[in-house]
Amino acid sequence: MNIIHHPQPMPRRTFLKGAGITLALPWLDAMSVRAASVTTAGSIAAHETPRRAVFSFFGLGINGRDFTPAETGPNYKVTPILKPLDALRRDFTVISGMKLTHSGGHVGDRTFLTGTNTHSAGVKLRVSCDQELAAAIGKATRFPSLTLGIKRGTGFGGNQDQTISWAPSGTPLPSENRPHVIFDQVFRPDTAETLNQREAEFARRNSVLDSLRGEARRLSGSLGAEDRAKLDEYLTGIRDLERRMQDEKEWLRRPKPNVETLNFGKEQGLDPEKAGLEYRRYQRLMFDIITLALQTDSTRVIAYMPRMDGQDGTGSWRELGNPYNYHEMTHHGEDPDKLKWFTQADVWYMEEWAYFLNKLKAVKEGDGTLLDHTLVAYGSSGGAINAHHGHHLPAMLAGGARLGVKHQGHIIKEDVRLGNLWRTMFERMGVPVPANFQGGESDGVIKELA
Amino acid sequence: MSTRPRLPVRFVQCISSLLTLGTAALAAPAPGTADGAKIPRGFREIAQPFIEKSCLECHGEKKAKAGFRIDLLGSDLTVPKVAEQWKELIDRINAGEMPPEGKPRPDVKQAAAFVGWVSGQLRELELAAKNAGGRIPMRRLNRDEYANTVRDLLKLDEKIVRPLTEEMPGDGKAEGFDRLGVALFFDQTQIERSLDVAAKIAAKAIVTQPPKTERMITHFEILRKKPPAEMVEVFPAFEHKIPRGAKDRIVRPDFIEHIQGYPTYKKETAAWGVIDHFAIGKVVTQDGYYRFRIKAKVDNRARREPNKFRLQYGMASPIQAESEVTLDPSGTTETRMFLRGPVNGEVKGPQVFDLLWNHTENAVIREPKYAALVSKWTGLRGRMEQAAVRRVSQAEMDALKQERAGLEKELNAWTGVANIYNPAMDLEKLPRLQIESIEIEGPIEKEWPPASHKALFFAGDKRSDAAYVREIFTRFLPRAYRRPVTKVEIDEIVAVVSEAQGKGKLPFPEAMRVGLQRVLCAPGFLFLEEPSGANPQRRALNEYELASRLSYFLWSTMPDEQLFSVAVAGKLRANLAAQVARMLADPKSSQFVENFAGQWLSVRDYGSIQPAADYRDYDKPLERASKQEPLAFFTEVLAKNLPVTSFLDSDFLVLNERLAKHYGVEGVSGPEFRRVAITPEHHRGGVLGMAGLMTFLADGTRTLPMRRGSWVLRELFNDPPNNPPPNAGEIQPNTGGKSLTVRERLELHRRDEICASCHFKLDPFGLALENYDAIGHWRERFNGEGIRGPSAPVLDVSGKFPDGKKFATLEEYKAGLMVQKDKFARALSTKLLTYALGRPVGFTDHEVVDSLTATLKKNEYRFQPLIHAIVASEPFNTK
Repeated sequence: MNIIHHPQPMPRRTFLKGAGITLALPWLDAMSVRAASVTTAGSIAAHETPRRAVFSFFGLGINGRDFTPAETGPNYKVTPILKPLDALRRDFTVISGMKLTHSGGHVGDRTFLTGTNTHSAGVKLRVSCDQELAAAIGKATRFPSLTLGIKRGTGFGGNQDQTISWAPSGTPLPSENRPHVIFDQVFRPDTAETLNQREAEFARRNSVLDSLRGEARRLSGSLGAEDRAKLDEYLTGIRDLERRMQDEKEWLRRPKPNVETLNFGKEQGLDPEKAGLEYRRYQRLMFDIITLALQTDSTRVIAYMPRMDGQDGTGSWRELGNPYNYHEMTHHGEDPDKLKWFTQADVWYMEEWAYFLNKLKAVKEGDGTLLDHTLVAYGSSGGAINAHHGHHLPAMLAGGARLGVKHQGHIIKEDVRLGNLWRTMFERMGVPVPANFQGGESDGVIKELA
Repeated sequence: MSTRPRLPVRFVQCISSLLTLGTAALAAPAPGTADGAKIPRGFREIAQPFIEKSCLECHGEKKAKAGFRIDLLGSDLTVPKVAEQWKELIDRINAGEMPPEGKPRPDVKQAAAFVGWVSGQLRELELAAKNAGGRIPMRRLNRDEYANTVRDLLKLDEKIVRPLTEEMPGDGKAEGFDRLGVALFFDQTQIERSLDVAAKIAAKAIVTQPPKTERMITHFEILRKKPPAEMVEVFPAFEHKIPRGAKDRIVRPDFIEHIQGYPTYKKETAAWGVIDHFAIGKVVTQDGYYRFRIKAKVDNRARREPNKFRLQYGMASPIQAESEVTLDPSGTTETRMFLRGPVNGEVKGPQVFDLLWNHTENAVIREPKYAALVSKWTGLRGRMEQAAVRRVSQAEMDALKQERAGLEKELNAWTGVANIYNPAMDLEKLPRLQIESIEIEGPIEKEWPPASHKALFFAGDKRSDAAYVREIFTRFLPRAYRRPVTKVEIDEIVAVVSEAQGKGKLPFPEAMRVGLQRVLCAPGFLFLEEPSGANPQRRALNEYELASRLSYFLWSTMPDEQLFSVAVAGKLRANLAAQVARMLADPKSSQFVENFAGQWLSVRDYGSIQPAADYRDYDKPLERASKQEPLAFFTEVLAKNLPVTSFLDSDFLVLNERLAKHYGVEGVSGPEFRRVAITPEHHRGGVLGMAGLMTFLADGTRTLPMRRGSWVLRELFNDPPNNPPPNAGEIQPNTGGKSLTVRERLELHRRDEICASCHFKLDPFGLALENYDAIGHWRERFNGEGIRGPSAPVLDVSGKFPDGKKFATLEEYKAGLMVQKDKFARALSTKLLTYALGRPVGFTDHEVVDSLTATLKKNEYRFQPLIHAIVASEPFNTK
């Protein structure tokens, strides 16, 4: 991609309205030739449109009998759970039958974007593909990627993960879950004081890192070949961190995109760590912010865990009367009441998903929409056939029409690895697939989509 | 990893040449196989005949179907894909896909032998690739070692250090342990988090002023203004109200008087009543010690036992903290607790405080007739739920609904009181808690300035000159790097401090923090350095290196002053045995138990399996006790120098009351663990049968004999079974009203010949443990999955060891394991050596392992000689 630094003077005061308030207003269309040109968020030339990817993980599967269409092709008969998406039928493809080799029962969260059997002892934790993508294209935006989830932190060391992002060393990257905090990070202009503090901190760190490098180099000379290789990891770590800090520093004094503050409403009810989460309001705000972040080219890669793989974290629509948590419903044991709520809850989740896709679609970009320039993956590590096994996963790729994705309605890829969907996305992003992709759990692309 | 060693040729070095040789008589090595062409054991007998008979026709030189030639399959597993192809090859054979339909079926036993042979070779190569038998690689400290070292180096409180180090990335495991260099990586995130964590540690260690404390007093004013309502809703919250009747608390002018607290609805705290319950997030803004000052007295009346408070915080969450304190008769009870606040804005649990009192249980009860109605109603609710699951007929459901309507009518007609004072007790004689207020304040410091600060600034806080900086780090750095340091190394730290003061314009203490941060991120601190130069020969460790190895082996932390001083005097190697004995007797050796036994016996994973609700005996105290039991048992064997065969079977256990109850062992009371003699009718002994392990090797609803069997083979005999082939079936739940035991369902699965070949070896080791149910309770009939009672099938635990020896009972099985105690001794030696060295132990270490095993045998299998022998072994003493 031809990246041109493009410090564009602001010809007019431009606001991006958020929060589902003024979505389809014609002026937005006129203004938003493309997000990057609206503000200085991205560093992309006017004739280019960024390619983006969103990976979403919904833990514990879905009620497949009310989700998976009976027919394949574009004219499948709509199922109850897909109904909220029906108006968008040409914008996504349901891909049935895929598997994750290392997901079994619970805790398939960790294998979702890494491909590896990472919950079992003795297996090396490894990088997730959103981070591989960020490493390839992240330099072009203020945030190489965003890691979001329904719970804050990593959850590492506990029984279930709270993130689907893993650094190259196999270190979990913490999720953020507070809409206003993400909004502040991405859009709130920093005060002069914060900027000065950050710069002082960078300077201090550089001084410490310089000094550490001195010691490491001296030590390196006294080591045998193997130990030196170990120490090289250390030196490489320092160098990578310095580069990352350099990137951050370059963004530091560049203004953040100018958007109108979202209407968050009262903060109470928006923290999933606390009781009384108003799930629908919360979920929509999260999707609003994701849309804004993509639209302003603040990032091009997002990994999102809106529902976890054990305790779902969302409350499963308790406030709408659902008496069960998501896990209980997946183990329905043919109990008709649980099955009924299972489908109902899935429909509600899908209504939120439809909200998100519609939101992306409502943003005009060039002669297409933001959705057309974004690959949006919906997936799970739990199957769609009774309980949650590692096969017959519910999966869906939405958007990306302008990136060459040809939507097929419903296709069946029996026993094909989920890693092949990620590979397909890399191909559409124009990013070469890294070595040992998915730890070997990917052996081709999904041709029908490309 | 970019620089993995090329493998010594050990595997099917070059299948092609071997096969050629095979057909052309394996007489002399052919040209081109000069570097040994050592033919691996078993290749000629097992692999070659199988490949020739079943593979070569289609996947050889002539046909190469699917583009695959087995004769060209390389053997260097460090080459990407090669290991995968071998793995895939045996997976296909396992799954019965190869040889394909239409071709002659291979003999099942031959196929199994071939698969086993390839797996063994792969395992050997994997070990070699991880540098088994080689030089011990330099490695970084893992998280536990890092936390312990920071604690000892800076004299910080462990409770302060631990939460800070949680932000460090998790450690990789290899060969079952998290201290092997091959799995302890370093990268950008590691250095970034090291900087962050070190900055926080430095801020705790070097202080400027006492932290701002928060304070909160609860006076029960609200309660006083709003005493318990006189009328309450009739159960289950119908519109109709009834008089409350007897009250558990009374509002007095200056205090609230409690006869009884609220029930906790938890078995473990049945004797306690909740007095108050409120959020304290406003006070607990950071990790630290908090002071509780409770103004309360007890009007004891007839009570003789002491009055106690139990303080709980963040229950059932990662920040859970609990403490018990005896009421001070003066009227003010004070205690201190370490409480965890939010970390980087992340609240790890509900910041809710509960005050409990050991009240008089059941002093206030429901009016009996009313209680009977209520319990009928709740019972009926349960029956209706069951009926819905069973999908009973509409008529049956209607009948239940009618019954419920009748009950509700009766409940709504109730006009009596809800509660009465228990007529079996003399109300006048019951104690009354009179509580006035609760005050919480913190964080408070034990001493000011803290020990860490005083130790660093040895000459006090008056000086801040450059020479002082140098003096401070001249004292500090050798301890931080665990060796003598050079002037250049000190200069570097001093330079960082002076840059922070100069260019960074930081005041002295803050600049010193930057210096400390620099030290805590240095290779000298983070890595166990043993520089070997370009010398390819092994060399003896110097005394400092040996001190560190020893200290991290037995304590998971840096050497203490005594160990340092022995090393400084150059007398450690000569006095190794005495130091080992001293260190094993030191409380810090509990880290060895936690880190070695905790991983070997899978203890760290206990609690990850949550038993289903029908296992009613399972509760938190049992879970906690079952996590402690194996460690307490291990400690006993280690400290008393008992035979390691105790892990296979023993005539004692180390128990507390909760576990003893679970095991049916009489006469154990109290929460502390102690050695208890057991007899055969208790059906326990050794680690097999420990509740935690049995629960972990089940899935919460039923047992998993495969998982138990493979654990026994892997952990006790170091003989891991082959990985299951992909898509290996699972044992299905019982369907259609059948009540088959797990064994019966497993037999259905084993009808497949290919599956049978593996299960033949594996199953007996797990099925023999079927007498322990999914929570490790003893049983003779099948239970779980909704099945229980006298009509449940009787379990058959009989089986046959791979050598053909039969057993009918658990006792015979364990006797059979005991016969193989030498194999177990060898396995334990291997595990312990792996842990001690921080590298995998493989083929080339066999002489060391042989001699360790011999040491055990010679010493009646007693534990301590093994540790002494490892410390004295050549690999432990060399780089």
